[in-house]
Amino acid sequence: MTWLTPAIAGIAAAIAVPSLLLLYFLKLRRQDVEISSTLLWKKAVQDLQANAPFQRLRKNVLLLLQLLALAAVLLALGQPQIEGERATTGRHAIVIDRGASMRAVDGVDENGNAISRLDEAKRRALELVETLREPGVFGVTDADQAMVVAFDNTAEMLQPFTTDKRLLREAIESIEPSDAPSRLDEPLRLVRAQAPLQAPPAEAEGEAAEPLPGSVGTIHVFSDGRPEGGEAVDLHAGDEVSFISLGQTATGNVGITALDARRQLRQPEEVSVLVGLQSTMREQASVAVELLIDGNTVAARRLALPPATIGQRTNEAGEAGELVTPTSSGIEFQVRRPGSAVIEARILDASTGDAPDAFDRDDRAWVVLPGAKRLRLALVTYGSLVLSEALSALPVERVEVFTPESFESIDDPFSRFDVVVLDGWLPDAPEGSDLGLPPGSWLVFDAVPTGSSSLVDRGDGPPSEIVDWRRDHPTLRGLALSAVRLSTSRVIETSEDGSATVIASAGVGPAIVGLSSARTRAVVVPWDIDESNWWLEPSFIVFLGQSVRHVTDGGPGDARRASRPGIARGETLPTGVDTAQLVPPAGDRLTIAVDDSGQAIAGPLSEVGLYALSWDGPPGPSDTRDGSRSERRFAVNLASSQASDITPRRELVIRAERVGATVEQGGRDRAPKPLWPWLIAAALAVMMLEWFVYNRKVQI
Amino acid sequence: MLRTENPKRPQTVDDLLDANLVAQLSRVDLQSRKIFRGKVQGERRSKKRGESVEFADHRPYVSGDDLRHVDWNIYGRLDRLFLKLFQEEEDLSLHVVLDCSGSADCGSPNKFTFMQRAAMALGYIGLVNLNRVSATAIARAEDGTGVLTSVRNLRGRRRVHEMGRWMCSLEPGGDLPFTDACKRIALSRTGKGVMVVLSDLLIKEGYQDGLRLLAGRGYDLVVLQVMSPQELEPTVGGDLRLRDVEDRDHAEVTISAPLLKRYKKVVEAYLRQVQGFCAAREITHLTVRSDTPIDTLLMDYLRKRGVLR
Repeated sequence: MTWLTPAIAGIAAAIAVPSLLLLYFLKLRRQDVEISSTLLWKKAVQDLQANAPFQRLRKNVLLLLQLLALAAVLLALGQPQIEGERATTGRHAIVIDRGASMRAVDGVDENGNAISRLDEAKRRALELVETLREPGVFGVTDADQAMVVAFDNTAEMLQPFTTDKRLLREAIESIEPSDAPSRLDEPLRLVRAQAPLQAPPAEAEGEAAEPLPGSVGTIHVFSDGRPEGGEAVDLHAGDEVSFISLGQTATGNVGITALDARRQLRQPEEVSVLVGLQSTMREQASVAVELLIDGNTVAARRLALPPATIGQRTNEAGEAGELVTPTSSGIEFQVRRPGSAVIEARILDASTGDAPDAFDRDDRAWVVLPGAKRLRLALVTYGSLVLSEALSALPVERVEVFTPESFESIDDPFSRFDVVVLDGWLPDAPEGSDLGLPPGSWLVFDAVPTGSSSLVDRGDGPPSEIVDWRRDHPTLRGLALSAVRLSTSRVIETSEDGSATVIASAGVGPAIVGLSSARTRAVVVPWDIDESNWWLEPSFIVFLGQSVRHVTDGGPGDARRASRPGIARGETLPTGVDTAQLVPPAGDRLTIAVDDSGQAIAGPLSEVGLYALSWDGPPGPSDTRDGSRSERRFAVNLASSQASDITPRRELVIRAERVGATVEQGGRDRAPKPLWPWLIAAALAVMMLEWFVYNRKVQI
Repeated sequence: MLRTENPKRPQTVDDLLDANLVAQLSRVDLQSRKIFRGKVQGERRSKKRGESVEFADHRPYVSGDDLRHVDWNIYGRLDRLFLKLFQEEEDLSLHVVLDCSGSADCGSPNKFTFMQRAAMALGYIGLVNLNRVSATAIARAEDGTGVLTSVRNLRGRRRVHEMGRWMCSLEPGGDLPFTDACKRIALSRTGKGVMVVLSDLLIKEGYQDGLRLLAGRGYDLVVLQVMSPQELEPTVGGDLRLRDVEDRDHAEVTISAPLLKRYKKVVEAYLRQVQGFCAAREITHLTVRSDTPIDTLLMDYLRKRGVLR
């Protein structure tokens, strides 16, 4: 048992006890009343006293009761409490995983209802809060402080360090699940950032007397052990990590790990839909895979997934554990769909038709397939055979070749063509143009558009080769340019205002540049393709195809790339669009500003499902139009073998140390129990007894 | 129970007796369970054979009898002398003893005012019925004795005002040496008759000796014990120092439910004790609350007990 405020109780006792004794010995001040005769009153009092046993002791009984009541009050002032089991430090960081796998429903609450891992984590965290030492009535004692952090692939501080249990409870209860994968490094760094500053060690005092972050206390991580990234975190030597492991090891899951839809190159109305599946079930999983187009089921197929391989593994501490290796399978559907479509794949339990497992977020996936429209290209050249042949190899509707003079005679080229490819020639840019190009979608070869703030042409350069390129750029995705040699290079410089993006660099500087403004989008290859070996490489054709798609906002035909939850998505909108509205699968619509490069950045998108982006203005080649508004839909799918493996792990790796799961204990039993309410109740009871005795007695 | 602050005292006979009461009182007369020999001829039928017109009996003549009372008709018929006996009518002596101590000047309604009115009413009945009426106020006098003042041998309706003035002149206060007062009354009293003692009998030295002295003198003694409602059912509460108005003695009490219960039992026992004492000595005892209407007291209570008829 501990006392929170023994000093206050002592001082109060030193004052109150003598005061009570003094008051007791002082006669009560009574009101004088004149009556006819005291004869009968005295007789009554004498009778009463004569009838009461232990009358000599009675005054002492009253005093004893008063002293008892006072003692109870004084003890309550000391705020005693029975210590439960609790952490040693006074600071606690409650870190709760809210990532996708925490949605798995494999727990049971007190009433036997199934609850998710996150609900279980919240319940355990609330129990932990109950065990914290409270500041006491007078707030003069060192109470435990705690903070609340929720994380998926980002961390959010829901409540900084506080002693207020109500705030902590509210913060914990406010945590909502997300579909994003979890990473442990961010929350741990966020917690570390809250560490109090300590005076530097004595030996370092002479050099840098700046205080250093000290220990943050005990970090309680409530998770199923799926998050990674903990090894990169640097904790203080005094930091203690307590891992509260959640989830059932036997919980298996069947999920869609991939969904893609492709139109056949020569018959674009024929669509192949590929569904990738994964199972971590310990028994064979029999599922029905349904394919829905625009909400209507068009195909369904049963599939039996073999059980996952359960192996043994031994960790560094020599503890044996299970190693679950998932099994994968896939299924392909062929459908005919000339127009745009939202394709949904859904898995159900083959026998019951219900959800096949405890984790439903990967049981559905979507893909948005634009209509089978083909692009129209214009090539403006003095006679490049390479380009005209290469472009005609693309799956486009048509490629028309113009000379610069004939092209200039066309009034509005972008009403007839989606993309214009310029070879060694540039049209006149309007006055004040930033990029040096008229509005539209352009591929520029062997020329440098020099607008007010784009590129600076330094003329031909020496032979060179591509030394670096952005593999993540849409134009170069999946390509290697290491074999590209330039017999004549072009030396250009890019401005720093952000309108030009270097996509690939040669030894002499930028080799491929992307230009983007509100109304113009272009990919510029400033050197002559004929003077290089690139046109001999397959990557050139792919680059051409991807560049055409890039400058036309993704291009029609292929399925729109689906996002993963937890990351932001940038959509390039048609020129001239300032704002767009994002309609998530659930919740309110959001207004998103479109930046100068025409990108609308939405997110991070924390929820799987179908999103719709709409705007006032012209649609892109793959967008739909409804009245004055254009709309583009895209999907966010879990679609990851790692995310679908929800088998909980019983240890976390934090800075090369393995943190085993804390043994489960009943949190409420560990809570410190304050005794002062009981003491106050006892004091009240004694006072009532004293009042009763007082009423039974009379003093003369 | 509590002392009456600034009590309204009666100033005239009219304050003591209102017209309605007088009308009722005219129809009643005093009655004694004992037959007394009066001093003068009155309106009261006596045991003595006397000289009224109402025939009572005959008896044989003995030597020395007044020959005027011989019934000559019988002598003529029987030739023997018989005396003709008539009912004698005598007056009755009424003595009203009024407690004038401080304890009487308490309660609401004031006990002393009640006693004054009751005493005046009894005196009026006595006077209009041609009885001899005396009255004595008892309390500690300046000379230390128990008798304050008195009026004696009033008779006839004309003395009503004299008695009223005396009654209105009384001012209660001080303690009451009850035994001494009774002793003096008993010694000074000549003749026999009805004596009515009006007091609360809250007498610390005891009421027994005093009443014994009065009863021993052969009076037809009536004790009207006047108690205020507050004395019978106290309404006070809290931590009090109760101070006696007579001897300034005090009692510190904390009024509680058990104490009030005990007090009521003590009061009941005390009244029973007085009643028992009086019954043993043929003293008519009556406990009267000071809020009892005077006419109820006279016409109901005293009639039932044979004090009035």
